[in-house]
Amino acid sequence: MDVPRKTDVGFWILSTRMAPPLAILIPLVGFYFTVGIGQGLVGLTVTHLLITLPLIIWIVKGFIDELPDSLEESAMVDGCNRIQALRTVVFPLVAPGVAAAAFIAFIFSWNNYVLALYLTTGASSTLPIAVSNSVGTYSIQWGQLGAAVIVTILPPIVLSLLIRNYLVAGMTMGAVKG
Amino acid sequence: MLGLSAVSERYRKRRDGQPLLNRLEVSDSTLRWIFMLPSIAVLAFISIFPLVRAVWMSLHDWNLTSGKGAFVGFGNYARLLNDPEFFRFEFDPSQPLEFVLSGSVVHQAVYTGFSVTIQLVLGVALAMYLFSLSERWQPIFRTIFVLPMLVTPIATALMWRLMIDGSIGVLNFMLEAVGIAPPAWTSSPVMAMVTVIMVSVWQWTPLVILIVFAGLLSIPESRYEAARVDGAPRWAIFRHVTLPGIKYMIAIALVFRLMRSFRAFPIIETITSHGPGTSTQIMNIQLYRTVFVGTGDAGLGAALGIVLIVLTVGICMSIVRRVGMMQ
Repeated sequence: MDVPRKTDVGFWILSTRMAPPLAILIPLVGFYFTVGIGQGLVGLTVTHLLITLPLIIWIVKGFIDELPDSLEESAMVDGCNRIQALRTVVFPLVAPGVAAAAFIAFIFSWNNYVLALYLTTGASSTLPIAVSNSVGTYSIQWGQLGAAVIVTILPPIVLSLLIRNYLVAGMTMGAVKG
Repeated sequence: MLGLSAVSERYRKRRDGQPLLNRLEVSDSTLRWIFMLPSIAVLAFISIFPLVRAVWMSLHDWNLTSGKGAFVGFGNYARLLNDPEFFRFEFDPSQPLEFVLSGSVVHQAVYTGFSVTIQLVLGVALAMYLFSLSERWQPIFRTIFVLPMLVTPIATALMWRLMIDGSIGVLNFMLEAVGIAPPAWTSSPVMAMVTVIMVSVWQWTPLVILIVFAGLLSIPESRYEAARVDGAPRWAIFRHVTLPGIKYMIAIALVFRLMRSFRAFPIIETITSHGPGTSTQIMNIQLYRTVFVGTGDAGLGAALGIVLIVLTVGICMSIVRRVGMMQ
């Protein structure tokens, strides 16, 4: 489907992923305080869209670009309308790509430290913050720390091994088909 | 003979049993906006709005908690340039060898330059080694090579901090066992930077390996055969067959490594806490400390953020455009 200024929009989405999140966070935090959500999980969740959304758009775009247009066209010749063609023909074919994109986004979001460092406090801390806080200045409980680190790194590693065939495409936002 | 109305009648009947979403007839021009609006709206809120607001904030005296102050024009940018934590250069012509060059821009350049270069060289070398392995060992080594990248950065940082610890660090113990005096990892400015770059190389070389390995797989075997038939020596095969084949992949790896090195945070902050002094403080960390630690000088921080955004997006996008990632 032709979208006006497709390339420019694509570049813009890509550039939102490239901008350092902390620079974006300053004005957003000001906004969060204005609307009264301040520091907390709501603000953190919204900010994490900045990490995940451009990533997912670009990865899934890579997979859809690979599908021949004729598939969708033949579905429409057979009587599907556009939505139906998308649901019954295109989506099942790119479903592995969508799943891979979701996992990659999950990993990036899970591993993120910088945004949560300011946006969460105390009980709302995410795992990376909690792990790093468990290191005291004078004493470190190495046993506990080791357990916490394992709990933190296990989900990303297991997920990545599940999607290892899509890992390269995911990490490079679809620029490289692995 | 079937008339047009009969056909459309049958067509409608078949549709009636379908879920509502399939029966909707929406024109393409409407549909394209329905598809695009949610993500465009969200992205606009988290990218255009903050960007405009950051520019606006950087032109004001602005405190994170108490809010907007007086309009200062480019005052924040001027303050940033005069800030010795941002850039400091002292040079005395009478003693040309004793100059001071520091500040977060300089640290950023050193950190990014060395870590990305080492990662690329090491990554290409290891990818070629991986490529040369037999079918049996390749998947095993590939998994091993990739693992560091999947470890949560904060966990990497804590792990390395434990390993280089002065009293209980296992790395010091191993070095002593082979008769090398362990260096003071984080106490001198140069060594602290070396340590940080080392950990960053450990964590992110796997990404380069993965990308370049995908490139190596895509080079057709016939090109190697042709080169071998012509009697090309090994370095010539690498120079004229392998390197052109993975040029695009190296550029992509460069973009993604550059992008992330500009936002490096957990590794540096955990291992050296941007010290000793501020000798490993890169721009991203200066930004964090300016705004979110201490008085909350959001005006200055926004100015620094704009500089950082322009640098990162400018450098990365120019490479992306040149190598044609969009196609």
